[in-house]
Amino acid sequence: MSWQEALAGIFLWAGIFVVLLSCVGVMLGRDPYARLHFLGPATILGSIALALAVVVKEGLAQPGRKAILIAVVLLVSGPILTHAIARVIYSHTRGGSFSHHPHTPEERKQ
Amino acid sequence: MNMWLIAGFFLLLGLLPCAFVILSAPVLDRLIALQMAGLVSTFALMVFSQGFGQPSFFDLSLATALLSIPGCLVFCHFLESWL
Repeated sequence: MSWQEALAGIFLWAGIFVVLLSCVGVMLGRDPYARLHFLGPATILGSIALALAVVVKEGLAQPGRKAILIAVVLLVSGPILTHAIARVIYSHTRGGSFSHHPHTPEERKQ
Repeated sequence: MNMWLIAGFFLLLGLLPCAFVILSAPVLDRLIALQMAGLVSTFALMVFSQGFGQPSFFDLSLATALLSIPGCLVFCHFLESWL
């Protein structure tokens, strides 16, 4: 096994370890906010580690470039989606909504 | 059988906790578990495409990552607004 394969293996198994722990955290979370936290490590650390594993193994050939692109997409979209989900949880737990549109028939009658 | 395929198998095991939450938890927790399952499937496609030596399969992983964005936002919209 060359040093490239060994390094790729380290990144690969580290990323998988983080993702699996995050999945267990989502299962064991007590409330939606606690479960939402575990999306972060999986998105950030998992995507970076797996992309690095592919890049170390393949270099900047087609698989490496695509892995980097996938990691960039996940890194950009992850915080946005986490914030959107947190907003939904907040609106549900506070019993209201951030939108000004009437939602229920009772609100429409007012 | 190589390291990547074995790693992909272990990665797919992460779908089991997500499935448990989707089947048993309230709706908001299900959305979080769904998003996590989408992440796991994206990573699994990456790892399996590397394991099978098919660079073209990375496109599937990229499509999954891109499509999970509007998918999650659609669920957020319908959960926040009243249907």
